[in-house]
Amino acid sequence: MGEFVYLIRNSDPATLAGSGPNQSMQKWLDWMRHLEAGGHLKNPGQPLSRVGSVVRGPDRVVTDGPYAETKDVIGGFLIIEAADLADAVELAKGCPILSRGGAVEVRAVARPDA
Amino acid sequence: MDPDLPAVLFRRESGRLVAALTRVFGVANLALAEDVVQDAFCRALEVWKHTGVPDNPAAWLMAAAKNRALDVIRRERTATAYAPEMGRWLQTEWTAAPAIDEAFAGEAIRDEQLRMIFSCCHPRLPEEAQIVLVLHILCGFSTAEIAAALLSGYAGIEKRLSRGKKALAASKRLFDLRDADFDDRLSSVHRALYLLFNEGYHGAGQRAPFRPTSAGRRCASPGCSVSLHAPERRRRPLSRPSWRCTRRACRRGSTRWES
Repeated sequence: MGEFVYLIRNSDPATLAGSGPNQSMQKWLDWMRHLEAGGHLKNPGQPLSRVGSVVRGPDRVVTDGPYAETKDVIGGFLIIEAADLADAVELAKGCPILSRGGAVEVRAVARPDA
Repeated sequence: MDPDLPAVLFRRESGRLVAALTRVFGVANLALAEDVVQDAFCRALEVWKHTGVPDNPAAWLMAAAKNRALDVIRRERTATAYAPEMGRWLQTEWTAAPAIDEAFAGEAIRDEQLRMIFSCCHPRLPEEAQIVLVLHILCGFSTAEIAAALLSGYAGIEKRLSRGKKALAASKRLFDLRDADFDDRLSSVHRALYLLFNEGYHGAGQRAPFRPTSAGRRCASPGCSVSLHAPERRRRPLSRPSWRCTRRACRRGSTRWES
């Protein structure tokens, strides 16, 4: 079993949790329940607000907003447990963000022994 | 605004809202659920003073209660232990709002009312405490009204209520309708429903000996929910309130005719 982080990326600001219509929120609950039922949901994480700043480089340059390209904005994260990357990818296919044009980045949590 | 509206609405809606919120917060936080309902009502009366009463005040109140619940959860996400089966979904903003919505959805809210009635009829509580709890939590009766209805002192009822609520909050979770002691509790629930109906029939306060809305509602609402879950043979005792409803209508008719 390995730990994976789902980084939810979305292009449409309206799809951010809390601002979307209830129908799509219900899909999140259904998907998370599905993950939980399979023993995959390690930490349900949180959706992220679009407000943010980036601190960069040795000069600590602060810029507004996480990214210029809206499609790169991380809309939230959650942590799951899956057998391997292929399993984690398969589970990510149920994410409601996909049907709204968003993306899920699946990243394995690095382990010193791996 | 009709001066009777707040009282009528409270009687009709508070029990449903408290039951659904207790599902969300867990029975240990019963007092929090009651606070949230009070808040929603206060807010409604405040806003309606300016905007007028909305077309569907019950829906307005439910939305206010949901929003208030979400506020509370956001503020105390880590500080309070909520219902075990809900906690996970309240922790995260991905699912908190739809999880609350679910508890308030039509079928669910009826089930919660029924679960609450069964929870109030806890075998550890004396029978009179069970009735007092149901009257207060599910029917929105004030302590004074219950005291008048049961021909008892205010202080006594108040004590009974607070003891009953403590006992309820101390139980690990709300009663599950699939629990093994369903049958044991069913008879107390029937008795409670019957007494409730009597209460609606005779009316609690001296000035209002007859309250058609609350009686009709109580007769319809718990009755329907019970029949949804109880096997055929268990329905029989519940037919009595319906019968009295018919009688009530006759009596009303004849009174008018005589006068």
